[in-house]
This record gives sequence, C-alpha cells and structure tokens, in this order.
Amino acid sequence: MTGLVCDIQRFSVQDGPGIRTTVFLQGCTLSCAWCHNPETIPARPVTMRLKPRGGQPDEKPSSVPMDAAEVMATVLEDRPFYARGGGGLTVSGGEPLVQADFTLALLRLAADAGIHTALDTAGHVPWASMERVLPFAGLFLYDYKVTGDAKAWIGAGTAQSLSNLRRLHGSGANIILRCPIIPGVNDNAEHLRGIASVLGDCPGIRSVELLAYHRLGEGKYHSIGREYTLGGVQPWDEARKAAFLDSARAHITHPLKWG
Amino acid sequence: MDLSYEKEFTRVHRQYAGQDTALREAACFRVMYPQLLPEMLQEDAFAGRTLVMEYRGVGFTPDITLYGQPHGMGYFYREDFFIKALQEAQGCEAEEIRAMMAYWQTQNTTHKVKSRYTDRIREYLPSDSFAGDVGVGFPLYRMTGAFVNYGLLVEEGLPGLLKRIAAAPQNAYTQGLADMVRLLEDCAKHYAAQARELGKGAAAQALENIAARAPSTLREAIQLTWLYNCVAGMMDYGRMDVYLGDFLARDLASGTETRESALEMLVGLWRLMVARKTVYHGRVVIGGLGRPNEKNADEFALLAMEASRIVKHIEPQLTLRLYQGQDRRLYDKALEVIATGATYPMLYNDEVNVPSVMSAFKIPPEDARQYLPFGCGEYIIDHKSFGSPNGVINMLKALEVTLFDGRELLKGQKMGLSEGGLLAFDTFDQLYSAYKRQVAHFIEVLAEAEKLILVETGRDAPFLLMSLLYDGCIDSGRGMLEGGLPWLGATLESYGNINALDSLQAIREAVYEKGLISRETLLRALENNFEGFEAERQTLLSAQKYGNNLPQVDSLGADLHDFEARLIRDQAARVGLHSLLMVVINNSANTFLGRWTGASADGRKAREYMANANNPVGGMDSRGVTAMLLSLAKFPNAHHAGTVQNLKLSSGLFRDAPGKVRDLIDTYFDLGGTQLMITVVSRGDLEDAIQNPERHRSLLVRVGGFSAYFVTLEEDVQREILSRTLH
Repeated sequence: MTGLVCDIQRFSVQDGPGIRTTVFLQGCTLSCAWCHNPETIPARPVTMRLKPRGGQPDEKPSSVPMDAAEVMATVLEDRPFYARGGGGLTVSGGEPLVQADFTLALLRLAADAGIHTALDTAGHVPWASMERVLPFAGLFLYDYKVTGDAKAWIGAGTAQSLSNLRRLHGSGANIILRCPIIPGVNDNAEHLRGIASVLGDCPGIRSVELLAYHRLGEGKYHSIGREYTLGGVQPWDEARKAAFLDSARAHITHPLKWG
Repeated sequence: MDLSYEKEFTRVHRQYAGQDTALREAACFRVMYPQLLPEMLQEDAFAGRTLVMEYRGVGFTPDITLYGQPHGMGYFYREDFFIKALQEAQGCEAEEIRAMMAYWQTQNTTHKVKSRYTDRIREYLPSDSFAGDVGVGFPLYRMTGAFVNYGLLVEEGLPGLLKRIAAAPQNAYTQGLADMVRLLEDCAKHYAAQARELGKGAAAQALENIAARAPSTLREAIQLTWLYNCVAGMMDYGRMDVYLGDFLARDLASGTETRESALEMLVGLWRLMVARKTVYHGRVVIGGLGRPNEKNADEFALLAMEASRIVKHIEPQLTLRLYQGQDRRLYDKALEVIATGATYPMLYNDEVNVPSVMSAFKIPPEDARQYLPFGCGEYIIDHKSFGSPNGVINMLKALEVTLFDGRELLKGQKMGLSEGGLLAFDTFDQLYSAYKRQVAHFIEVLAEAEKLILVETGRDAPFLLMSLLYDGCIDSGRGMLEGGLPWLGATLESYGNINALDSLQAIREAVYEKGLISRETLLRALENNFEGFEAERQTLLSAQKYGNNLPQVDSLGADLHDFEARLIRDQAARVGLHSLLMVVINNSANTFLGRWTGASADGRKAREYMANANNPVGGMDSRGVTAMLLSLAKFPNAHHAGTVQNLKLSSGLFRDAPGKVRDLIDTYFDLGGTQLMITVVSRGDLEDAIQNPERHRSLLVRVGGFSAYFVTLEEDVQREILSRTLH
C-alpha cells in the first residue's frame, strides 16, 4: 500500500498524548485561508521552491510516494519514546482521509504494533471513509473551524463535518475538538457559542483545544507560488491568549486549553 | 615590577635542593601564602578569590590552565612573565632575572618530567601543543581533576587533621602535611583580620573559628572548604550536598540560618566560583546513589539548583546525579532551572553509570556509587582515585595518517605507523584494521607518557594539600603519587571520534561498497581540500551519518567506541596504574585539534572544527531528536570514564510540554544514556542558524503552540522568532 507522504515529524508534541510521530499526507478537501501546510492541499504533489541556499535554488516535491511499511519503520523506531506518555502515531494532513486506504493501512499497522493511534481530521469526507478507520484510531483530533458562513474561509460548509462528528460521537469514539482561532475571523462570541453548541450535541467529547493562529506557514505559500491572504493578521501574544481563554470559559464547560 | 616574591620563592626552592621534596614544597608554600592571597572584597560572601598563581612568574599549583598557554603542574615557570620583567628591569636586576630564568627553565616540574621521556615518547608525541601543532597524540601537563575528602576536612577541622597527622608515621612527608595544615590556619587568621577591617563580622568570626576548631555551622564549613580550595589550587568542588547537607539541616533546625539566608550564602559562593574562572572545572556534584545523609543532602541540592538559577553562569558546573527512587523534587527543580536557560544542572544517570563505573574501574558497587565527573566530565571515585587527563588523542588525525601511509596532510610530516595507506587496502576491513592498529599504537605511547608524567611529577613534589585529603596518604605517610593513594589512575581524552566514524562510514559506502569514488580520487580530493572535487564531497556528505539511528553507521560507531575504550583500559595493567580510561568530552579541544587536521572523508574541510564529544557532527543529524538520542544510546558504556552528550531544546517546549521533555529524557536514560547537558536554544543559536542553516537542520523551535524546524522557515519568520527569543 503506497501513499503520498509530505513529512514524517518525530518528537511531535502537539498532536495527541505523549511523544508522537506525526505523518502528514498529501491532499485536503478544504482550503483554509490560514492553513500552515498549504502544500498539502492539492491532491497531487506540488513543487516547492525553497530559498536559494549556496546559490542553488532548492526544489522539492511537496510529497513523495512511500510504502506504508516504510513509513511504519520510521514510526516504530521511536517506540521506546512512546511508552511513558502513551504516545504513538498521529496521521495528519492535509486531510488524511483523502487517502483513506493509506491512512487505514498506517493506523492498522500501528494498532497491530500496539502503539497509540490518533487521526487529525476536519471530517469533511464521506462518512464511509471515517467509518473504516474508526476501529483503528484511538483518538480523533477533530477540527471545528468556523461557525456560520464557513465557505469563504475554509472553502466548504461545515454540514458534512458536523454530521460526521455526531455519528463519530455516537459510536463512542475518543474525540478532542480542536479549534483554530484566527484573529478577526472566529475569535468572537458567535463562534464560542457555536463551539458550545457542538459540545452540547456531543457531550462525550473529551476536551477542547484552541489552536492559536500563527504565520509560520507563510513561507510555504511563496514556495508554491500562492498568495498569502492573511498577511495583515497579527499572531496571538500570551496576554491576548489568556484573555480569550477566559472569555471562552464563559461559554464552554468542557476541559479547555490552548493546544 | 616587584619581583621580591619570585626571588624569595627561588631562594627557598634552591635552599631545599637535595632535601626531602615534602619539606621543600611546604617551605615554598610558606613563601606563597598567606602573602599572595588576594584581598577579600566588600562584596565577597567568603574569603578566597581567583587563581592568583596565574599572575606570577613561579609558584606551585596542581594545574595552571591558561587560555592559549601550555599547561603546567607542580613548580611552574612562566617565561612570558620573566621576559616582561626583563624588559622593565633596571641595572643589575636584569642579571638576577636571567639567573632565575636559567634556574627555572630546568627546575620547573613540567621540564623535569619531559626530560625523562623515553625515545619512543619523543618520537611519537613530538609536540606538546595540541592547539598549535599537528599531531595524533599529545601529552598534557597537569595534576588535575581531583576530588578530595571534603567530608573529612569539615568533620575534623584543621586541628583535628593535625591530630590525625600526629598519629601517623612521622616522616618528612607527614611533617610537610602538618606544616600545610598550620599554613591553612594562618591563612584563615590572615583573612579574619581583613574581614574585621571590612566590618564583616560574621565572615571574620567564621574564619577565626575555623583556625581554632572544626566548623560547626554551614558558613564555617563553606569557608573552610573554600579557603582550602583556593590555597590548594583545587578547581572541582566535590559532592557538596553530602559534605554540607548536615550543616544546612542543623543550621535550619537551630534557626542559625533560614532557607533564604542559606541561599544567599550559596549565591555568594557561586559568585566567587564565577570570579575564580577555572574555565574547564568548577564541578559541584549533587544527588545520586551512595549519599549516607540523603534527606539533608537533597535539601542542600534543591538550594544549590536555586543558586544556579539565580547566578546563571558557566560556573559552577552544577551536576545532578539521578537514580530511580530519588526524591522527585530534585529532578523537577532541575528541569525548572534548565528551562530558564541556565544550562545547569547537567544530568547524570546513575542507573547506567554506576554499573559502568564498576566495570570500567573494576571496583565494587559501594565504591562505584561514589563516582564523580570532574572538569569536562571524567569520572573518578570520590577521594579514592585520581584520574588526571594527561593525554589527548585525535581520532580523526589518526585516520588521516592511516589513509596517507604515515604522513599527515597539513605539514607533510611523517608520524605514526606506515602500512601503505588507502591504496594498500583492498577491502574496508583491511582499512579498518589498519586504522585500529594506528590508534592502538598512539594509545600505547600515550599510556606510557601518562604513567611517566605521574611518576616523575611525584618525584618532584608530593602535592601535600591535595594528598592531605586523599585516602591512604596520611595513614601511610606517603604522597598520593608515591604510593600513598592505592587507586592512582589517569584518563585519556579522545577527540574527533564522530568525524572519524562518519569518515570511515563514507569511505565504506562511497569507495568500497558502491564504488562511487576510487581510492586514488579520494586521496586527491582530501589532499586538495575538496577543491575541484565538490561532486565527490557531496557524495561523501550523502553517506550515512551518525546521529540518525541508522544501523550500519551506528554499529560501526559502537564497535569503534568500545574498541578504543577497551584498548585504553587495558593499558592500565601494562603501564602499572589502577585505571587508565577513555573520556569523550566537551570543551574547545575539538576546535583546536580541528585546526590542525586536514580535510576528512566525511566531507569536512581542512582546519574546520570537529564534532564535540560523542555528539553528531552539527547538521548531520537530520532525522530528529529522537533518532539522535537513539544513536547516542547505542554506544557501550562499560569501559570508559565518561562521555558527554548535548541536547538543545527550545524554551517553548519546556513551557508548553514539560511532561514530554521529561518523557524524552527518561526514555533516553532508560535506553542506556549516561548523561545529558541540556541547553535551551539561545538567540545566538538562532542567529547562527540563519547564517549557517546546514549546521542546524535539527533545530526545532516552538512558537505559539507550533513546532517547526527553524531552518525551513522564511527569513522574516526566522527574524520574528529571533526577536522574541531572549537569552
């Protein structure tokens, strides 16, 4: 089983419990304006032209085909590091369920090897794709991005994602809701009420992580010849993050933190 | 220039010609102290400052370590000092100075030792200057890295030590010891008077008390040990939580001190250590197995770490030993302090190190629990063994000489074994075997030199103050170098190990396995420092490199590491030492030696620095921090006296994911890691990464909940992160 792999990040600390290895896959069903991995959005690899180094422009494809067993060999190298904090494999993207067969293969191999598995998904996929991986994903890092008119910001509506979330929740899956908070876009009471409403529908969600907007991905837009439209948005500072967390707590009773 | 001290020192040294060396040493110390003791300053918490001996023309000290100067030990002689004096000399004084120079040129201890070298040592270790000349092996002149029995010092006090000496066999040596103890009493009184004048009543009282009796408070115990260190020239400060822990507990219980006032004292002591600038030393060890007063020692250790958080300097090199079952507060505090950018404490893993020390030193567990890393990280056994590193081997230079048939590249000098060079080796195994023979040859010569240095140094002086607090010396009535110390040993510093490993791997892959580069071409590429051979260099750079958890290169590394460690350990019996052990440590020697090493097959250009200690070559560990740690943990540890590993993490990681940082360290230690020196990524690191991204491919930064490899970011983003990164 072969898939298009953008990156394998070891000692990943933000995508689930413990020390993890996150595998980023090519292809996404959304196109969020703030995406920090824009090269993963197209279904096929794109050429990234990095800053010239030593006079030579550095070109590389955004992803390369890899065998699932080859990916797992790297993931399993770090098995000793997973044990203590319940770490393991996180499959991310893009939207990993665009390559549902490959994602399933990775999760299954990891589950067979006895390491924890997590899937980082926005859920904008056919339910059938999600249903297939359900038995092999120990944790869903499920994105909820915009309340109200989402299409302008993320390229699609949220109906499918929310419907899948409810079904996933109904199946008893282990879910952490992850909400990117973008200044000027969704750092408002309406969105907090939206999050609260999702949690009302799906009370079994374990916790909520707010993901602070940052512009570390801006360079990648240039590298693939895309315009970065959020250039004017200021990233969060610690004081504003603390204040926003306070206001969010007025709406959200679930365990809540900046992720 | 006032040379009255130098003249008097010279006169006394001459006067004792032909007499017992102990009496001469004691008499010479009487010339030095107390008169040369630097004045106590108003801001000083304790009396005793700076390594004053560095500023005089002659004197006596175990180790005179100066930047850019050759080392020296025992009776030292600084020619540069006298040349300057000569330029300023008036009238007949010049003659007197010339006479002193002529005398000390042959009478300094280092010269005497060198004059007894065998022809073999002279032939294969022709230069003393590892920082300024080509060579595979170099001797070093110093009696350094001792850990003495501070517990005995604070328990007995100076009068108690005199009683012990009086009960021992009476000879010139024990008479010398007694003279030295009385000298320490006089130094205490000397400083007591100064402290009184400065209006520092508590300090004065402590100094008066330690001149008269054993210390009874933390202040007195610190003052006594610090004064001893300054006069004796000791630069590593031992298992401080053990020898001061009970004093702290008693003072806290009696209300003599509060935690705050005790902390203030430690901060004051730390600042004096900073001022003393021992450069490579200043070890204060806390934590670990084998502490009889563990509870009290733990409280001291917590305070010591807090002092390091406050002082935040390169000294003391605070060293925390960890074992399973130790009070978790120590580890918690260590990570808290490291996260603030303090670099210290360094972490040592007793679970691995105690068994390793048992095996390397061939000693029982109760002794192995008393292992202490000194200086740059060489283990010795607390006040039972001596392990001065008096030899250096450059493993990469040994490979250069092997490839070029006994010739080195930078000056074209012949050195080492000549077995035909790379062209004579039809297989990698032939090359590797020849390389091992080359290394073995130099290690044998270095072992002989190290033994000779110890013996001949002991013949010139018993090092009274150091041996006073070393096991076996008072009771036997013999100096530590003359049979008083049963476990007299040495260490041998090894550099360029990882560049040599990566070079061997690159030759194996590119030349022997894949046939991408011919042997002739490789030799020409190296001789020409890769000029005109960039394609070959890229081929060599793309070979497997250590630090990526790649099985082939890592197992070659483990084999080479253990081969060298066993080889050195086995020399002890041959030359007659209790131990002789390899150390692979951190300091600037990797840079100095690199300057005198030609281009190497790992793609490194001539004269560039070599990788530090056991760490991957900068930028070559491209598969992430876990892969690097997995590689590090593969080296066997049973036959050496210390290796040093560095780990750089961003401060954001400590802030946002402290539990995961701990998982990382704990897992590394579980895998067999010996030690970690964790630094928080600094502004300087980031600046260097912008300039030289190829050296920082694994530098991970964490900003606003996101981790990224710094060198992959756009420059403006890098600048933004830089602007937010303080020290």
